Amino acid sequence: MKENQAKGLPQGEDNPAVPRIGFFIESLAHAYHLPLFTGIYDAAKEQGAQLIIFAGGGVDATADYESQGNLIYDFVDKNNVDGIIVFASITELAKDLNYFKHYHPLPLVTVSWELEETHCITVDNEQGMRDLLAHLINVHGYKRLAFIRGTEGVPDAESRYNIYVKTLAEYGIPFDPNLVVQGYFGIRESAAAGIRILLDERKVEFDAVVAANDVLAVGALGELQARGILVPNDVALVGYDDQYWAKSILPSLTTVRQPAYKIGKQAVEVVLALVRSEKPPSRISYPNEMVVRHSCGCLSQAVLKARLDPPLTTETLASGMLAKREAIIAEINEILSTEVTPTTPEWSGQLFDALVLEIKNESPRKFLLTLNYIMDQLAIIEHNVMIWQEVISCLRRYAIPCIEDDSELFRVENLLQQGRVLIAEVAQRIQTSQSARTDRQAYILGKVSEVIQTTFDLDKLTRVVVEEFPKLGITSCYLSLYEKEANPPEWSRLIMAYDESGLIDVGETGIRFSTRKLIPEDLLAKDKQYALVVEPLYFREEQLGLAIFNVDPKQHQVYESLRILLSSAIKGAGLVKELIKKESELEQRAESLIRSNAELEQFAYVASHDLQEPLRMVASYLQLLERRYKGKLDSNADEFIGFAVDGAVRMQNLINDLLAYSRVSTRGKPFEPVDCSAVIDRARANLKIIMTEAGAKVTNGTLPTLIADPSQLLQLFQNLIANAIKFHSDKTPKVHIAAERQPDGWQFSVQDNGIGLDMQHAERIFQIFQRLHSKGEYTGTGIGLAVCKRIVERHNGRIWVVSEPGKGATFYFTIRTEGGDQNGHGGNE
Amino acid sequence: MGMEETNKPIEILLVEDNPGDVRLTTEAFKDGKVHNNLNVVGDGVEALAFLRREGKYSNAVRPDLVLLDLNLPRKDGRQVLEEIKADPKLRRIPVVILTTSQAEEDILKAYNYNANCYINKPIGFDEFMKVVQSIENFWLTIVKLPTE
Repeated sequence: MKENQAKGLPQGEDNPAVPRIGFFIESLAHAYHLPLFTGIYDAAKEQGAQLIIFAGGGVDATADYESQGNLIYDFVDKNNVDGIIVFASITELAKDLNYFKHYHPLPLVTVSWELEETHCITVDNEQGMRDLLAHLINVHGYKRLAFIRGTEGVPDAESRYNIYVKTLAEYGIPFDPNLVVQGYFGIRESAAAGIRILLDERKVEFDAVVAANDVLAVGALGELQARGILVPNDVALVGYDDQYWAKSILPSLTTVRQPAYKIGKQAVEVVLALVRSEKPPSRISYPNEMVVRHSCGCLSQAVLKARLDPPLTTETLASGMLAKREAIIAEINEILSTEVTPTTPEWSGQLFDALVLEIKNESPRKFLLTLNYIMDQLAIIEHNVMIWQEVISCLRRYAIPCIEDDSELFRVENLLQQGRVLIAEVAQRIQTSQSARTDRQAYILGKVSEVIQTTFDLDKLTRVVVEEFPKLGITSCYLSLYEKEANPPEWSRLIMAYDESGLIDVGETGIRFSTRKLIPEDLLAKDKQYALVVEPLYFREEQLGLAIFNVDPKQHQVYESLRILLSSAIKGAGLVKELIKKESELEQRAESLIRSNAELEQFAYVASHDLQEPLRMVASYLQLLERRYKGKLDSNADEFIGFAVDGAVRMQNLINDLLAYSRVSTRGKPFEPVDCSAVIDRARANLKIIMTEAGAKVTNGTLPTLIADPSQLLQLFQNLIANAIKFHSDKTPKVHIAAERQPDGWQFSVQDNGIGLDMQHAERIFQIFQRLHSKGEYTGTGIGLAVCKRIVERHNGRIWVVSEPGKGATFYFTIRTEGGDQNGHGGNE
Repeated sequence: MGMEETNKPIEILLVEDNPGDVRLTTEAFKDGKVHNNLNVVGDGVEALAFLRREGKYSNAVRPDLVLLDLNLPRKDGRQVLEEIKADPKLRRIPVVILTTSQAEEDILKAYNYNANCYINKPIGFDEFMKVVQSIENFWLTIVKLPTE
């Protein structure tokens, strides 16, 4: 705030008390990015700036659903940050980096990639690469340098290759295209394949392999070792990037280091200068540094630096040292600046002075105590202290030549040796505690994931988060869900939050807030320094919400794991909730079905009783009228009365049929074994009159016994037989009933030699009150086949007809015997 | 109570709430051969009062036949039947259920309560006439009933 006032910037909502820096990186999980991240983190802390990290995945990511995370970049604007740092690893394609231009006029600093109209902090690839090649040529005398290129089209890959070509030319070494193979950044196997091409296909010889990055170098190393080719004895090997593991592999890898930590710090300085409306240089470039280790054939630099030049002077030790105080301290600071170490500048001076005092015997143990103090400080923040071995080497290099007698030499060597042991011990201790913490973290993370993955309830999930996350070093956490699937989701609801002071009350329904605020206002102190990471929660294509944690480089790898865990847990909870909702909907639907069934039965009752009552009155009194007044009215009146009575009678038949139709399902009887032959016999008996009238013959084949509703089965056969007889032709009606076994039941056929029907009506005849013929030709309401269909359906079968006009008809129906409605619907009145 | 012996009319109690049916039944019996007296009550409570000679029915005659509709106001016909058949003084009076209900459970219930027969009200006066004549013919002519 003071700085803002000093610069005379207008005060208002857009000018927060503490500057806020947004940092875009695809993920914090990669150890490769840790130095840069730590640099930014440390600088933000030192400058009192708020740091909000947006870990939204690569903008051109094609892997799985990674680009879904990009959504959070859309939330970034002047409401939540005052300046932005974009790390170019977020994309491999320059055109996608252009995307970030739209944040203009917010101050934007890009790291390791140049972008027009923005401030850039870049790495000078050339120097490090040129040094590396020069080292192979000059120091080792190698001339045949094989080159494994990086991914085509990626600027870093192109520039490294161009330097290779250029440097060879500078040293007068002819370029041999047979020594160049194509590789792909990040894919070890591509380098192994490259080695195979060189050795097997092209059968070329080479002194050294220059890989465009460390990953490719390791790939090449594996292939060479597999063939018994020793690195560096048979072939030298160098990489690029100085990945965190480059010094630990065997042989340790000679490579080029990007000063990522320094770049991170510089980026913060530039963006803060821009926020203060200052004019920092728009282009800052850091040279890459060659790191010589063993894979090129050298001894490691630490070993080299421990070497002594012979004594050149006879000055007394203390005064000799003191005379060079400034130079020595400057050299120590230079050594320290190469490491990711937030050192206090006074330390080098303090250590130097302590050594001198100890040499003078003025303050015994002062040197070791000072070194111990520095080590303790570094141990707390767990920084790599091994660089201090090089500081000891530096002190020794200056001290030893000043020593005149053997006893003094012995004393100083002893002292420095003690210092080395001290440093090694602390390094050991840090490593032990780091690995112990990693183990503990892995254990807790395992436990947390187990709990979260088995939690399908949002309330329970938030409780688990509150209980378990602090164990992972997460001292504050804000969990929000997007309100709707709008793109971008303008509103969110904070469903759970806690910070250092404990659980934050979000109420029953959570706190609604504009998503762009990231966290509801007033929950975060505006005047406090903090560092947060915004992790997008998404499940495949579905955007869910945001998880925001306070961030610490020490547990940089947990945030992404938690994002994935929370995403699937929230999605799971949502699915379960949906399932429960669907279930209750289904229950409701079942209930309403039962209700509507009851209503249908009520309707049937109404039809049978109340509807018939008035009808009966009409018919009866018409007839009474006829009876009493016949002859007293004219002949027209008698005819009219006749039509009216006929209409009333027909209507009553319709009502009765409708009732019969509805009763198929509402008044069905339980299923029981039924002998179909016996049923046919009864049907024949019942139809005796019409059979005799028409002279019909009804025959049947062997019929099974099956589980069915006996009275409905009788009705079914009776209706079909009656139907067959009714629509007879001029031939003697013949009806034959047969049955055929099917995999899951029986198929029956009722065949006649009647008038048949056109197949275009084959569906219609089974619909209620549908008739193909006029009332004059055939009587009936058209209910018979509709009832048949309902009965068959109640037995889980289907009914259809096959016919041709004039050639009879065959009605087929099936009755399922397995998985059918074995209980039937009992008459429940 | 032989029909042939005396000219005393046969007493019939019609329990029916529908005036249309009451009139129809009245007309049908009017056209009938048997000399009869049709007493009419409109609901179940009235019917039992008539049979038990309660209140305004203290002077009511004991009917020789009850024609009982099932769906009645105040007290349902099924319950009236049940009470008649449970009453030692009344249970020997033949009760003919005359109703529109074709529901099987109604038929079953009626016989379970010892209804003497169950008849569906037919459609049309001619059919109704046949039913009334059948009742007359069977219950009032052929059947021999106890005197009290």
